[in-house]
Amino acid sequence: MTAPAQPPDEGFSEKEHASEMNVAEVHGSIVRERADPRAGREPVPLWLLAIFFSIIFWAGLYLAYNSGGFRADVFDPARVAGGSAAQTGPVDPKVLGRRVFTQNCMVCHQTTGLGVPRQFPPLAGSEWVLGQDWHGDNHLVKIVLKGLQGPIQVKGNTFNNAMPTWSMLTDEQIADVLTYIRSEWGNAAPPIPADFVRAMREQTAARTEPWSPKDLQAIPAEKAPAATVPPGPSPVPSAAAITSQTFNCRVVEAHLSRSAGFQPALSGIPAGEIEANQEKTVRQDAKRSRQDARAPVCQPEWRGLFYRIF
Amino acid sequence: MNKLPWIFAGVLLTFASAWLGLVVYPCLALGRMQPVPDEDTGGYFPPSSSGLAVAGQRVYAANGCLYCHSQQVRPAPLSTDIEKGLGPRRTVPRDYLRAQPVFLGTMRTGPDLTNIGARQPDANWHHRHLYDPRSVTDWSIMPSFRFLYKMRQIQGQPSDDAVKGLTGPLAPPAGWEAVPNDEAKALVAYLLSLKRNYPLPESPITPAK
Amino acid sequence: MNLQSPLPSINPANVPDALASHERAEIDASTRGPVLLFFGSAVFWLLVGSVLGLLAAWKMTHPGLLDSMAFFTFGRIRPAHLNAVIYGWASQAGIGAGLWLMARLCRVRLLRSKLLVSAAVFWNVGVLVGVLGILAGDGRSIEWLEFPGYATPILFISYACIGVWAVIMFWYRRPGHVYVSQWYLLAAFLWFPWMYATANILLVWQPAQGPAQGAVNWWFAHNLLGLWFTPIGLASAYYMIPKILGCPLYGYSLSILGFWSLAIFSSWNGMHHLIGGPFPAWMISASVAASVLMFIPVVTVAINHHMTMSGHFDALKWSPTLRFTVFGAMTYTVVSLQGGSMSIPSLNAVTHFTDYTIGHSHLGMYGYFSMMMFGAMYYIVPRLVGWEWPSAAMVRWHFWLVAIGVLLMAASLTIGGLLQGLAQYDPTVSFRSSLEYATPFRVVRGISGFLLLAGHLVFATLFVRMLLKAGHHREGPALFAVPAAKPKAAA
Repeated sequence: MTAPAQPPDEGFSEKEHASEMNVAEVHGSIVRERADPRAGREPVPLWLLAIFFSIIFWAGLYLAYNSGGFRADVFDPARVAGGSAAQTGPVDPKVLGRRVFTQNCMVCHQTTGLGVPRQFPPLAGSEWVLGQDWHGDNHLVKIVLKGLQGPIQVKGNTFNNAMPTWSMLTDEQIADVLTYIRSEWGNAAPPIPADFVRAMREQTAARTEPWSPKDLQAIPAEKAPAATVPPGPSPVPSAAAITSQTFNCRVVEAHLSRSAGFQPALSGIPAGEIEANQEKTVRQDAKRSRQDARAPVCQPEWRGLFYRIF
Repeated sequence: MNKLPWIFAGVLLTFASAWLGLVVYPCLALGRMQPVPDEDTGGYFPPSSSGLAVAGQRVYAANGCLYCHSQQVRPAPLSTDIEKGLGPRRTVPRDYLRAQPVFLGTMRTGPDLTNIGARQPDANWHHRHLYDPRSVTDWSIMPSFRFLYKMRQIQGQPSDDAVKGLTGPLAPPAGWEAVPNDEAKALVAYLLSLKRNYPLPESPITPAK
Repeated sequence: MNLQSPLPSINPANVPDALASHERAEIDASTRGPVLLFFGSAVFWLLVGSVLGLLAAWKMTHPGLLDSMAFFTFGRIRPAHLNAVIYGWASQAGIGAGLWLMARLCRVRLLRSKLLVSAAVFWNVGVLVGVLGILAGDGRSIEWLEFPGYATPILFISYACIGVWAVIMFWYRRPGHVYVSQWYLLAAFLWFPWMYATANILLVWQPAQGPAQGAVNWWFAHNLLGLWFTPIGLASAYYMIPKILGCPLYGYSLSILGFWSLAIFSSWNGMHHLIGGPFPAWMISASVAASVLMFIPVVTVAINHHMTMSGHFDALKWSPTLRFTVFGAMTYTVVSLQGGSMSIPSLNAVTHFTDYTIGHSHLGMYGYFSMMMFGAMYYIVPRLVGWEWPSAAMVRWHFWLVAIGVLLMAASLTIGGLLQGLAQYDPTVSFRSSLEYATPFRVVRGISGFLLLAGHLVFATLFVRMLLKAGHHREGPALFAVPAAKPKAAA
């Protein structure tokens, strides 16, 4: 290796050196300084090394057990990707109702059905849900269909918030979720059939505004008729039931319809036969959506050369 | 022995290891994600937001909302986020596909906002809250953002845009109204778009027990 | 390899590493301009940052404070405080100390110091533009990187000179033993541009797609702590402790182990700021493992420093430099072990998103790094200016104000944060309650901010008086107390 060149000289000369520094006047703080530090020779203690190697060993084990197989699509450390098992039978409407609740209602009314004091009313023990006092089952369905705002009294407390409309849910979904809330958290009220929801939807088709409590009180209370179909699991899963099932089933159905070019009849396909391998559907789905011309350009337009390399 | 090349090489190689693992890898693995199609509506998850909501991200960044509010729902048992109702499921990388920048946040001086659009779907509530948080929640320590609003005299009828139902010491006096300027409207549009309660295959919604 | 040193060689053959006084004076004279400018600007930004921090702290307990203007909203004051103290105070103090230490340890003069003076000016312009940009609403809300895109290139231009010059000094060092501080400084000066460039490219100029940004952000932010500030602070501690005591460092092998384990493990820590976040599980677990593995470098360095100090702790009674430095070094051990514990998911479940994290970050950036820089400045400035610190009483005030301030801040936020976190973890406790647990501790934190600001004003006064060579001519250093009778007395 060749010696590097001398650093550039900035007019350094003996004369300038002498005039810059008056040796006698070098400041006392510099004169009294001790020698620059140097390193001693003590070795690393063996016990310290032993501790270090046990920590390294622990780290290795931790990584082995908590890395989800080092996969990009596993986010929970202890879980290894494998997907959840498919439903092996028709789905209980109460389970479907609970899913609808968790996806839509739980953000405000909470999993406990207790709501948030002064903000979101409770559903547990609520006279609105159970159809007590002036409240009827028709009121309950209409609230879900059109929304509710204005000050209301629930179990003696006042709430003044705005519940949005949930009319985008199907009649079956609304019936399932209302059945669920009427039988959960100690509530015990009869289920609401989908037909009743359909009837209420037709009745209120013209209305665009959310209800106020006064509007509702003006409507006489009605009880939902007893369900004509026993509220047990239906043998033929309806389209609505399938769409609210585990998402992988829906994705697989979509994948089947795309690749085979047909819309399979949803009824008659036992849920157990639909392949519920989540991992595969995610990959297939991602690949298909890349190929799909409808897929939005979700990378921003100003991706630069850096990204084109990858 | 000339130490410089050894130190130099060691310093660069050790740094490169994590640079590869924590920078290059996420850009490759996470940086090319696509949204998932939603068969029910023909749209995509995560849904695209309106232009106003995208502009609202800029207002969110400019005013540092991130320093008090997080936007991530963690799973159980590490956290009780789901039990507390912050969201129906944990958030995953695909949820942040359209975020620019990503406001994950590391502080909860105020509540998490991942699903604020679902919890509070009313734009006027957001305007009231931004104008004077303590008029909506009296124990709040959130600062007022009334500088995003214009105080105007009511000309005849109150304007459609004006914030309704303002109370408290900062409310406009009689005959005056508070009208959101463009930044406030964009910010509220963005907040209303914060709903991550759609299903994603990699983050199943586990129903309440 | 034979280097021709620009300095006349007068070394006796058996003490090849020693510098004569006039050589030291020459080196100091060459570093005077840039280092004093970096130090002076750092003190200025320390005051600005303290005021901003105090304002942010009191806004949390009194939200109506100055809330009518966008310029002063909490969401802008807080990042303005953060960036002013990181890039304005801490980085410049670190660069100043780093350049002086590198020059002294490499035993070469710092050439072209005018270029470095320009670099210092550029750096300050960049920080000023950045902080004003944040207050004006152009902040990027990317934690630890909030400067708008028009401010960061200025910092880059400035750093180009600084980094290059530090490496050149190392390249032209006088032959002889390379001391551990030099490795840390060389590494820090090489790591900083890499991390800063990556973060700016992938987060600001050509942002990566959403999900990847969080990882890049916190890889950068943690590296700024672990691979920019930590090495500079450790380099200073490794120099000051043996230098002032006149004793050798305890163990060379320990310092090698400490350095390389820091290099290997530290950069993997970033994801521990995002435990539970939307990332593949292995990334989070890797960071958790790396955070616990940081025990190795931290304990190694602690043993090295402690054993060097062992038997000489009475020096803390009289030496300001040593007192600040050892305070910083001890805090380094505590805060790093605390950080490792916070990364374990079961504790993180309670401390994440709370004031506990803020207490930890202040204990690290202030209790460790800032105290270390105060110590370095107390040593270096007299040698550059040719004057002793004018008032030992003021130094004493400075020390106690900031020591009590930072300990009070850390204690209050730690306890408050734990209570807040336990309340947040319990789903039956309302958010309002968790807030109310934290509030009294935030008030105490606000009071500690006044103590810190007062301490900084004292220090700034001392610094200005040094620059002006005010006060009567002092023989001998400004010490807290008279050292016990010993053959040699030094500062």
